[in-house]
Amino acid sequence: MRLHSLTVEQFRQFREPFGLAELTPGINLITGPNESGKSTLVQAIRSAFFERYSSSKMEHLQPWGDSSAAPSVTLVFETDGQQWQLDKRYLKKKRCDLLVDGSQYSNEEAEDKLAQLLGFQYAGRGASKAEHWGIPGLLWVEQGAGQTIEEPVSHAGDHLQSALNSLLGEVASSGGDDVIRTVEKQREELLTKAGKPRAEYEAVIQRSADLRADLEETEQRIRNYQAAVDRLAELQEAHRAAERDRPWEEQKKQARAAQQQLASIEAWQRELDQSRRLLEQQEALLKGRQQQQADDAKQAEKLAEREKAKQEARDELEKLQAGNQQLTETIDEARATYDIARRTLDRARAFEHYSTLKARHAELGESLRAQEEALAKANKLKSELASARAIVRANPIEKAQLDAMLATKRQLSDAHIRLEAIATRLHYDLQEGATLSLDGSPLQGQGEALLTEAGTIELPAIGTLRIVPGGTDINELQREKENLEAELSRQLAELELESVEAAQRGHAEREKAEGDIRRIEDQLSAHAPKGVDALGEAVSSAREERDRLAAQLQELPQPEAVDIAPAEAQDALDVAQKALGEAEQLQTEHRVALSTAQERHRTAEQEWAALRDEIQSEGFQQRQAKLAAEIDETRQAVEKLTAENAEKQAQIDAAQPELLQQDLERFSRSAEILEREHRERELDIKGLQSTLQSQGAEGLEEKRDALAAELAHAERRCEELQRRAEALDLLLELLQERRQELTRRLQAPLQKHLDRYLGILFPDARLDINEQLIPQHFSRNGEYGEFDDLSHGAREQLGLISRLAYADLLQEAGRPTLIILDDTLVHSDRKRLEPMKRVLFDAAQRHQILLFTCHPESWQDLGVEPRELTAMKQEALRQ
Amino acid sequence: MPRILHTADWQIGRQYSRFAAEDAAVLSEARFAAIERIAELAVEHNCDAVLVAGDVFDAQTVSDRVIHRTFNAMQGFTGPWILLPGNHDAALVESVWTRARRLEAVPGNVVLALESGVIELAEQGMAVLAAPLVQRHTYDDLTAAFDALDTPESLLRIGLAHGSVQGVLAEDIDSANPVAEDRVQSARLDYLALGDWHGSKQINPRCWYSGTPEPERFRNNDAGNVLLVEIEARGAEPRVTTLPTARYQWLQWQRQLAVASDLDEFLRELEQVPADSVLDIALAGSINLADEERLERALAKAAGRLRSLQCDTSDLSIAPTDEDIAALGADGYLGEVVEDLRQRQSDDDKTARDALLILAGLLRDRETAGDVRQ
Repeated sequence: MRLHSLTVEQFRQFREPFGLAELTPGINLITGPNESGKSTLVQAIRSAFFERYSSSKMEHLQPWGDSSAAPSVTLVFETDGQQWQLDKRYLKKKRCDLLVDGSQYSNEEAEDKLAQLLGFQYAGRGASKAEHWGIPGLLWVEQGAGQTIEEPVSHAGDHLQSALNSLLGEVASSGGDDVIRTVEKQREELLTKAGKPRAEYEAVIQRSADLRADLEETEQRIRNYQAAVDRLAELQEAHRAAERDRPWEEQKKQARAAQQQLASIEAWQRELDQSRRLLEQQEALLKGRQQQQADDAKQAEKLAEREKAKQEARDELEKLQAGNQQLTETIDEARATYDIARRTLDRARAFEHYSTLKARHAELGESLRAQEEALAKANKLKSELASARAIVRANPIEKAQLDAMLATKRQLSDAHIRLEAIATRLHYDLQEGATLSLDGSPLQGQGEALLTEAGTIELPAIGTLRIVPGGTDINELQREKENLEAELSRQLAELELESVEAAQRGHAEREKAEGDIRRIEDQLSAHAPKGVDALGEAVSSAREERDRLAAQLQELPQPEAVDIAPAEAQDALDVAQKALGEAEQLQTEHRVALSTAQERHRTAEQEWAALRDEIQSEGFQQRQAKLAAEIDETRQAVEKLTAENAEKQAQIDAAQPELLQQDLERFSRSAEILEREHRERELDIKGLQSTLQSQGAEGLEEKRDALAAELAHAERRCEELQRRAEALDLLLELLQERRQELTRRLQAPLQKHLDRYLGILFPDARLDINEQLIPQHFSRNGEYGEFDDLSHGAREQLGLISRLAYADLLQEAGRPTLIILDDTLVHSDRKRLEPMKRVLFDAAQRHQILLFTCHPESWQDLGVEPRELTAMKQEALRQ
Repeated sequence: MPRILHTADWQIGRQYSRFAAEDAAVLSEARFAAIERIAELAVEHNCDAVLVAGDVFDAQTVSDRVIHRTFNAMQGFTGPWILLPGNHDAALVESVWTRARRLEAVPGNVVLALESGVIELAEQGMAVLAAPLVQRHTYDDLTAAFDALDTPESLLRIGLAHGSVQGVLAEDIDSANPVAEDRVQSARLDYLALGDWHGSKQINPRCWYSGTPEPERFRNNDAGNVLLVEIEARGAEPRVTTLPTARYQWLQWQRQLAVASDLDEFLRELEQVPADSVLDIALAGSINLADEERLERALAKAAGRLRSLQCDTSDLSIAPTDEDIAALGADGYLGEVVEDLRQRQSDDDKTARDALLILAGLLRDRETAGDVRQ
């Protein structure tokens, strides 16, 4: 097959018509960068063949955004000497036209012809998928899909087989594969892959088992039913016999006889019981009397005992009385010691008290004298302090006041000097006698008057002269001077002083007095730190205390001197007191013991006397004689009764009442059981009858027969299915065997082609193909592995080699071959690419190859002129 | 002249597991129809009584409905019916009979002979000596009691029993429920009506098995009749007439196919079988594929026509001819497989035979489909 040209229009990125014409046999290298349209052209070829023109799912073929476009593809090719032209248009005005050497085919007919030619299928609905692509799916390698080979080969399987069958002539079967598939399918309806029954077969086996179980159960129920019927017959027979014979009557009779015998034995027993009670009474009486006799005999022994007790009590009493004297002496002695110790302590205490008072009195007198001296001094200092304070009070001039006054005076004297300096000087030199008056003051002789203010000179007889000092300063100075004078006057007046000198004097006096005060106060605090009054009070209270002590001493008698300390005396007293206490305790205890012994002695004597009186009495003797007679009598009665009872017991024992009792029980129970059995049998019969009636209505045997029929059917079906399954198994096995044999015969030519290419790529390697004609085992240099385990690059290379081998085989079988490689071998390194180019070049001797690539530099040594898509597109636009 | 209709072994409630459910139901139903026919015949022949010699019911625990239907089917004849319990329906303390009475299914003219003794039918001029089975199996001759039973001189002495006449039926030696061969003589019977043997059979001129009125097995023993017994007077030899009652014929064939004409003969024979037949065929020999197809078609056709058809072809081997293989289009390795299977089949490999037929069927379907396409 040879493709001459390819033209597309309104097809994805080719909005305008674009053609790839003058395609050559052998390799056609179409290059162009990404997005230049290489894959679009591949897609155009694929869709022209694979997709139904009528498919509505072809929007993706339209140029982007142009939903009104009608994508179209035109292919012109030659195969088997015939010229084919295919025009296909999708979506708008969809059509398919095929012209084969002048014969016209259209639409589905044209498409079916194409499918038959190339060996592929159309999708039932929707877009075509890999499983439909058949042989082209194997020979047209999509971008990045070169490394997978198993899937495309299996999709091409049928077409490959039928194409290759022609190579082998009659050994291949035209419909063998269909038959195998049908047999497989039919087998699968009955068996799982592993050969286990499934679906109906499995169900019918299960059903048979269920039915068998049901049947077994029903048969068991029938057996039970029949057993119940037999049982009913037995029971009815037994019931009739029992009604007739009434076997329980005999048992009842026997029971009654035993009952009567037992009744007489019981009467004997009652007599015996009564007699035994009587015997018991007599025995008790005898025992009581014997006891009484024994008690009397014991009285004499008791009297001796009491005498001995009396003697013992007396001895004890005497011993206690003897001990009393010694105890009294001891206690007197202890009391005397105690009294001496008591008095010694009192004396020691009185002496100590007196000595203490006396010492205190002396001490107090000493301190009182010192205090009285200090008080006298303090009083004197106090009066000095009062006079110094009077001086201070008389001169109330503070240092600050004095200083202010002196300052005022200095300023005043300054002002006076300045005033005199600028005052109008009036020199006069009057004639003797002549008198003038200035401002009323007469002026005589010579002199000078300073006028600091306007002055009037009376010139007798002449009139007056008024002199007014010039300038403003003088007035101001004058006023300042007046102010100072006023200030000084005020300061003096405040202190009621005549002059500044007086002030100075007063102040000096005051300072001296203040110094005196400080000194006196220091001295005063030395003598009377808490004040003179406090001192005075202390003196008077000390004086009182001394007087009180003196009075006390006066009153106290003069004690004699003692050479023992009160503490020592106290210790001696404590010892004496303790000894006295102990002695007194002993005495008390002795008294109690004594009175107890006296009482005991008295009682013992009384008891002894009482008993002695009783034993020696007359009544006691008589009673003893009577008692002995009574004992004899009772003993005889007891003996008689004992003999009688033994006789009665022997009689009862001989009658064997236990056995009689057992007989009674046995016969009664037997009768009861027999009667109960009879009644129960009657009930059983009724129960069985009703059970059987209800079970009979179930139609058990009819049910059993129905189940048996159903089981027989199921088992027959099971057997049929088993036979069919076995037959299908055998048939499938034989068919597959033959089919594999055939495949092995097909493998040889394919292997031959494969080896040829492999020899170019890996001279020492081997690639084996399996029965499905898929490359499987790869070995090289003794290494061995599965195809799928090879590297991505190696799988791509071997995948291409395999495809070329298939193409060779197909060509041999007279089938058209066209190889399309879209950017293939991109995972191959330079070293591998070289032999692959030799492979491709070799294949191109027999097949047309369209090689699309975006790596033109990799293929420049392929010996073909590359066709650059971008340039071609521009060329097309120019036209 | 008293006339009796003697029948037995109705086996009401019998089910047939070997047939398809539909056929089995029809065959079960036919047993009720047989009772109706018996009633009709009794009327037609002006009979005085109908004696049923045991095994009226096939089992004790049939459903209530079956019991009612049985007695209802007897309505056609209003004279006395005497029903005797047999081994399938023995008069146990609880039995199909006690149930029938509880269900009040038994009409007044039907006498249940549940106890051994004499049933006097003075009006009909006969005394019936009944020997019912009261246990499922007994090894005593229950008819022995007949010898000692007295009946009025004016009445015929008719025995009614269910069991095997000793020394007559080879396979029944030592069997349960024995009947002495000379019972007729020892008990001075005018006629002894027997049941248990399913074919009509005369033991002696006064002793007969009536057989079942509707066959239910393939044993070819003259089943499907009732007996009309006419006795002139006490001591006279009875006149016994066989009246056919069967609706369905039960046929069992065994045929050997060797040459082509054997099949032709077999198919002709098959076509002539009446529609009311239950046919069981076993084929052996060998047959080619084309004839096998012819046979299958003929069997399918016959199955549609007959009441029931069962054919066992497992002993019939398939011998495909070259023409067969060519006709199937078994080219290439398919042909090899056909040959292989043929070979295996000759080693008595039944699986190979089935496989060959499946393969032939598939190939035939393909051819047919191909023809349709063309």
